[in-house]
Amino acid sequence: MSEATLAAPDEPSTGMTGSTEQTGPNGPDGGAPVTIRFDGVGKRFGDRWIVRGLDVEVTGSTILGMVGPSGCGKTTTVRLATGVYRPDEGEVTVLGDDPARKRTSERTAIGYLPQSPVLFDDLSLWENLNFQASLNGVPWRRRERLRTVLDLVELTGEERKLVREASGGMQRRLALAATLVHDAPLLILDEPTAGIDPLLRRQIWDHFRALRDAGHTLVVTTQHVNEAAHCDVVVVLDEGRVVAVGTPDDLRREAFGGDVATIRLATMVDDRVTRELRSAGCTHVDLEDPFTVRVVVDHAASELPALLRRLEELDVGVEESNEVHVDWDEAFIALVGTRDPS
Amino acid sequence: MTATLTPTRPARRLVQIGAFVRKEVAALLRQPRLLVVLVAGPFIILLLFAVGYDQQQAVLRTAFVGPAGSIYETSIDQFADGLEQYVDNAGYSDDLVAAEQRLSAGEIDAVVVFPADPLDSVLSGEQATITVLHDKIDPIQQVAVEVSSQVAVMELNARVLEEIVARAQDTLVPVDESLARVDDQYGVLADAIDSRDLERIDDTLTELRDSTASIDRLGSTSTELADAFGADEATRASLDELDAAVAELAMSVDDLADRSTSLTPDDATELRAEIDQVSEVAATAATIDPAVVVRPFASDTASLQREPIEVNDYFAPAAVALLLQHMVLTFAAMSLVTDRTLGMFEVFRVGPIDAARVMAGKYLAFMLVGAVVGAALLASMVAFLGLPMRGATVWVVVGIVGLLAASIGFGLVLSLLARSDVQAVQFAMLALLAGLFFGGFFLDLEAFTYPVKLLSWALPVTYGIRLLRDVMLRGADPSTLDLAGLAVTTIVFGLAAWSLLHRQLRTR
Repeated sequence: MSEATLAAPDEPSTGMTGSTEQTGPNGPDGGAPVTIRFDGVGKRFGDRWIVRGLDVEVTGSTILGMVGPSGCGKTTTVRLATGVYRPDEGEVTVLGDDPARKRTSERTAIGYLPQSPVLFDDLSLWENLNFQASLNGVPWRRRERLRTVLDLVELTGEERKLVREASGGMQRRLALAATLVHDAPLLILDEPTAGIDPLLRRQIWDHFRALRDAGHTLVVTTQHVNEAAHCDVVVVLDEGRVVAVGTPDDLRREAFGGDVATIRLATMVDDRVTRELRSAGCTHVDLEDPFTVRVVVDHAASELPALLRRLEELDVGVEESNEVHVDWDEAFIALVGTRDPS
Repeated sequence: MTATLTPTRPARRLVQIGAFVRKEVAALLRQPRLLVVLVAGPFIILLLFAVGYDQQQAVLRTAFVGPAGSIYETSIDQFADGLEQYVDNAGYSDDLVAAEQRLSAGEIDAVVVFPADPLDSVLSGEQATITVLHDKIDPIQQVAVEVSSQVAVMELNARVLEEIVARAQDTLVPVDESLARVDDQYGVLADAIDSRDLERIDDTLTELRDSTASIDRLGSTSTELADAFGADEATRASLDELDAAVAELAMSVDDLADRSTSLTPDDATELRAEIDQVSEVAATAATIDPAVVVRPFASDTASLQREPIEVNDYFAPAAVALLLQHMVLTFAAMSLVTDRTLGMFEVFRVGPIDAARVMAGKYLAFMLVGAVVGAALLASMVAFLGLPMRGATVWVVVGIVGLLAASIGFGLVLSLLARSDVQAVQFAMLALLAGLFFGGFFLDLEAFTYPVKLLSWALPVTYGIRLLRDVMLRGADPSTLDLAGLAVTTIVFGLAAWSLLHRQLRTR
């Protein structure tokens, strides 16, 4: 998995800065060129800033996930990366230069899935895929390639169906297949798993990882916060600001201030126990039920045994202790916090 | 895998352009009903037009109203056959109210009302007014009524005038008839002199005097007309010679009348010589028939075209041109609007494709469809409706290709100006209406004045209609103006569309 080196967060209102070094299973490669760089990027429409203070850098084969609530600026960020939008401040670099200034021939390096599937109702699934393949310059002898991507999105056997007769999920999968068909090294996917069932979502993420392993870089936005766990680097956006950047584990830790663990006692939890846990280095100690406390420590693996020993010294019986992999929804809520609706 | 999926640059362009051709054609073929309507629809309309259009309806059903037993009634009866050329004679009556009721009921198209006493008006030096009543609101039909009625009335007027003149100037008869009469009268006079029948001598001399006066009047009238129309010297001289010969004959007749009781066969012989002299001169003099004096001109229209052009023949090439413009213009307009609505423009912006390739694909696709539809339409019209194809087919092909290319560009421009598919359809309908009114479909371009006429020259269909009519109906080569017009509109609309699309595909 990737390792992300994150800068210390600035004030939440001014965004956060993060960067990824070489990632992926092939091992670190510090000399890898920067694939995407957002350098103090802001975009506004009229007086309203949609995205501001965006500093993110992705190098090498990585899956960069962008999560955030609806309207947080994910699609705008994606459009800045594809060159559809030009930033009003800062600089965007994709594969070495400004995406808005890329020559036509250089754009074959980008595969783009817009948020809404761009498909023609009167054409069959095969014809739509064929059209997108041609549009991206895939040579005419491409039947095998088309079959492969259709197979990937589990649409084999449905080729002749017209798009207007296909379900929303099928259309979504076809749009994804159309993005993958020309095998671009950089894939920018705006909510690729929206409207797709969980089983197929998992397969698609497996394929994304396989693409990464094959050297591709993927930028994926999603509203399924749990899908952040599939990414190498996650950017959490809220109201146009970067709330956090990092690996999924780092963000989880960031959300709660460390690792989360639960300790179930043989007796009821009392003040003496909570005091001892705090003094032993737990940043948070919360009561889950009368017999269970939930604690946050810097490194659960090393600190949890010490905590258990301390409780034994106090003659407090411990029935069970576990490091908790907190649900991503919870982590996301913790990161974003409670927003002012205004 | 990436390497195998990346073709060479020229090949990629072809693949990308081909993508649009396949996509647009496939999308259209998915709508067989639309294609049937496009091809069969206009053909059926023209077929119905050809079968159902009754050109006789253009001849107006006209009733005549005037005094019973008047000169008009007689003239209309006598002139019934000739009148059929101009109007459908719905009868003569003296009941104006009944005629007006028939007009209101739509049984007839016009009523021609003659004055009650035309001769009095004419004799008192005033024109007798003939009124034409109709109930048409269509300005074109109004003009048709007026023209047809006026022509018919003019013709009738002349007939009546001829009758009046003939009655009033009974002696104004053709010179041949007068000379024949003089010959007869001479024979009678010679016999009377031989038989010493004084009474017959006097009567015949009186008749001879009248006949000579008739020839004299005809000669004078002819001389005046010859002067009025600027006759040449020879014509004028022959008429003068006739005048002199007739004057001499008249003097001789007067002399014989003075000596009627003592005439001898020698007098008759002398008179014969003078009559022969008049006959000889009259044979070469340009005397004018009294009917011609009344109506010096008659019209006869002849076309330079080898074959007559029927109404449906005239409109068929224009209908094909208008349909082709409307069809590909609508396809082009809807296609780009659909692309934009779907979000395809965003894909174009990100993908390895530019405005020129998008347009090239659209042009090829719609030209292919338009050419097939156009060829099918023209072929079926030529084969089944007998539409003439008098010129070189290659010019028809050139015209259709030019029309399609210019119209597609026009459609692309409209689509890039439209904000929605509804607006694109409205623009397409406006272009159709503009083509109907300003493209020369049924109104002649010369009827328009600048700057409105510029609109005609901006429409591809204007050149298409002119070119197809020239080639198919006249059998002529297309004019340079039409070929240049199609070329210029193709380039201008193409560049405008490229510019707009290029701008819309730019980063925002």
